[in-house]
Amino acid sequence: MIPALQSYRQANPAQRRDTTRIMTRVCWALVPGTALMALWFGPGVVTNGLLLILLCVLFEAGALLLRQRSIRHGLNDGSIVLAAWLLALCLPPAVPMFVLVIGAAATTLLGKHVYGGLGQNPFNPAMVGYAVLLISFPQNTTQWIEPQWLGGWFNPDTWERVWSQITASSGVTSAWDAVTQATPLDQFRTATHAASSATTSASGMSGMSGMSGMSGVSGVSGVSGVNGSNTGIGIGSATSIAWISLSAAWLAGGLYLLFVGLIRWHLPVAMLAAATTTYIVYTVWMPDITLPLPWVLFYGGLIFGAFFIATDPVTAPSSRSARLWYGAGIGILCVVLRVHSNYPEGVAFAVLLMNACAPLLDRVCVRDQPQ
Amino acid sequence: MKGGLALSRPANSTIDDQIHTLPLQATYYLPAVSYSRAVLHSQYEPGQSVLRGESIAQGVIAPTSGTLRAQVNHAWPHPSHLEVPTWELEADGLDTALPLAPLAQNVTTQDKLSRLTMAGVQGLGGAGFSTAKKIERVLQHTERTLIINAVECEPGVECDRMLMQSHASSVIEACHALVEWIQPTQTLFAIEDDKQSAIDALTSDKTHQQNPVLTWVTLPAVYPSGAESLLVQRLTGLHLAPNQRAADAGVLCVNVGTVMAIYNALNGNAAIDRLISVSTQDLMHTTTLSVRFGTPLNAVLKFAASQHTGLAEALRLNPTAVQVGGPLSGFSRPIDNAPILAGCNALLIGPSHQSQPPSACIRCAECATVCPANLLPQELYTAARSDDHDVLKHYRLDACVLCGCCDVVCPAHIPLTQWFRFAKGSVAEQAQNEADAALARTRSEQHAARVEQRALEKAVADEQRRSAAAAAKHAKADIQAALARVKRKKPSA
Repeated sequence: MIPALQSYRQANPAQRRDTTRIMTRVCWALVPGTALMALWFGPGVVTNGLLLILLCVLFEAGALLLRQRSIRHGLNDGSIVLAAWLLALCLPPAVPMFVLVIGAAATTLLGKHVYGGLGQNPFNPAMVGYAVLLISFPQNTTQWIEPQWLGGWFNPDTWERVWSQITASSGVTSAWDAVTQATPLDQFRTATHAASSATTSASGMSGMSGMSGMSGVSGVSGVSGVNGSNTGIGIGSATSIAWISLSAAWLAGGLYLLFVGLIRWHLPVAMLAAATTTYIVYTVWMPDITLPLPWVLFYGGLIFGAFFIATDPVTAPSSRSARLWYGAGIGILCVVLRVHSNYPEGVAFAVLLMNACAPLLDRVCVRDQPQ
Repeated sequence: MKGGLALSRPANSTIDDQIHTLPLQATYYLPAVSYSRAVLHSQYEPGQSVLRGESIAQGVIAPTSGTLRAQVNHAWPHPSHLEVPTWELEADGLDTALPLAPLAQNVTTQDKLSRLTMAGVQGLGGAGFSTAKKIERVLQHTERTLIINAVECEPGVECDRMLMQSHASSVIEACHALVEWIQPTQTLFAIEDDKQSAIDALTSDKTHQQNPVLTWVTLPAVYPSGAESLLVQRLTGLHLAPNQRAADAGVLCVNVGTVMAIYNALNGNAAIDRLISVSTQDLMHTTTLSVRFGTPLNAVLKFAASQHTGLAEALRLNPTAVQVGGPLSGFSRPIDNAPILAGCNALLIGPSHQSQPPSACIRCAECATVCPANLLPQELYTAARSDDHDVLKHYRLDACVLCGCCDVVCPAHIPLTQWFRFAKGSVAEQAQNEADAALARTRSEQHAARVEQRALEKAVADEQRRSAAAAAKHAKADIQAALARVKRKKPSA
């Protein structure tokens, strides 16, 4: 750096910026939430993350090699590690290896390198990977086990499951159905759908709820038509405590990012405010299908999405007013998808839809200056 | 001003508070091109002797008396690192000045303007714009504002502060003379709050206290608040349209050094020198030199090293390259005999910063946060890369002042300002090509019209000639018929 600016930089530590440093800091912000998730859901969370990071780095190196770019320079920025980590946080614990391979390929190649690598991709790579998995492998990507504080770590079954993650060639066996459980949003959704329409069955195709956004449920978990409070997801149950504490951890990570100046408040605030407002409108419009308001924010992936997914600078618009509109769009779409779509959570698809609008928003919201 | 960077000197840095004048050199180099690389025409022949202050071409003034040598391609202090046709002036050592009388009080504006042109006065703030042209444009307005720009804002550029501090009474006198001439409704003296010594020197001046025509505007020291378009906008609230200059709106914004040059020119001294700050790259040591235009860079650095041990040490360690201009706005070039020109306000000795290899833009928009012109550099960058002039215009490349703030904060280490400089060149080139094409088209159309007109005139003339000939033929026949009638009558009579 220019030596003459040293004194300036010492006075402004936020300006000591570097792409690698930015990615590293976002990863640090993910640590508390990830640790908490591992404590609730067992070692499968950690293996998911490590395997996905390894796979994504391999795919990235291969893509850089084929594109005749410097592999060291390309991997050095750390962006692919972050993308792999974000994708891992969206998946239930101990997802089979072949699903992870396809997810990593979709994230790295389809999400990033087909567009020209870092900075060129219009869609959030982690969300591209997640959407591919969600549509292709709804069973594997939506099957969450019941959260159990530290339980998974001392249960030989979970370790066996982690082992079979690496060795198994196909999906989940029926032996695990007993312990799988829908996320709170799933259960509310299924319950309210059953209540409002007798024909609704718990289809095997619900996705996108859960924590980091976006998990779902398999049709075999037998929650169809059951009132939420009976299935252990009422306030105070282990499940609700798990999901709420996770959201709180993401919030803490997000506030850290805000504090160190890596993200700005406009986007997450607009997104959460728009989601809340839309939810209130729905509460008035169709009172029987909604959750109580605070749990709207804490169940599901809204907070994770608002601070870690939507704020991806590459795929978000860059001017402040455009970021407000963009965040609001994600918030509204997210709730609309929750209510009307086949998926209980809509963060991933809302982000992808608004990604497509980002260049337009950027062009429309050129900072106005009187001429 | 939004954005910008609050830069400051290192805490225990030293500034030599004396101005050192460079001794006369054996050879001076005078580029025969303007800053925009337009070739300057001259009636001077190689071998001709000139006097100090003699105008060789538009804006090119002989810095001393001597003999002109033939033009050769010579190094030029410009980011492009191009070589341009340059006169060599061999000094005769006598330094005889061209006798220029001070202008009387009652001379016309035109006389004053031509004096400025003849004396080669140009903006010393960096752009090197002809001051006479600027003033001429401002004088066309009845409501005028005068802004004296003493906002150096870039650490390591101390020449204006040194000028105000050491020649306070001359500066005040020069400002008063300019006010007298321009007759502005308002005169603003813009200065930064970190130049307290200069402010004290100026405000304690007797002439100023007797006749306080200057309104002081003290600005916080944020780079680049001294950029003309930003300063004018900030002080007057005036928003300039693309490609509009402040002078076109009746605002005369001149650097304080230029004000002195105007004053000197009107009093018979041509603009042949300027003050330059020479610092080490870490800004620990700074000294100020008075350097004549055309002095080779290596001679300036050698002299600076002889005056200051800190600079000598830095030059000994880094003998090959130097930064021309301030830490942000400057550019690195090899130490050779490229000449010092009006736009050069600072030299920095030391290791030029190791530019890290740029990586991809992640659109973090930090550049937009610091952009003092309120632009979106990340969008301009992609447009500049694809050389898309429409998009560049949409994101208002014209408002970019090339300050370099975005380069400093970019986490991907992208040399954004270089891209914008390139894009500006590309846009200017296209505009020039279009203007040339339009001119050629007009000429061709006018030529076609002239050919047609000539053909038409010829046809009309032919027709007239033909009808005249026919008429003459008729007349002849009539005469012959009359004669025949007469002949016929005669025998019968």
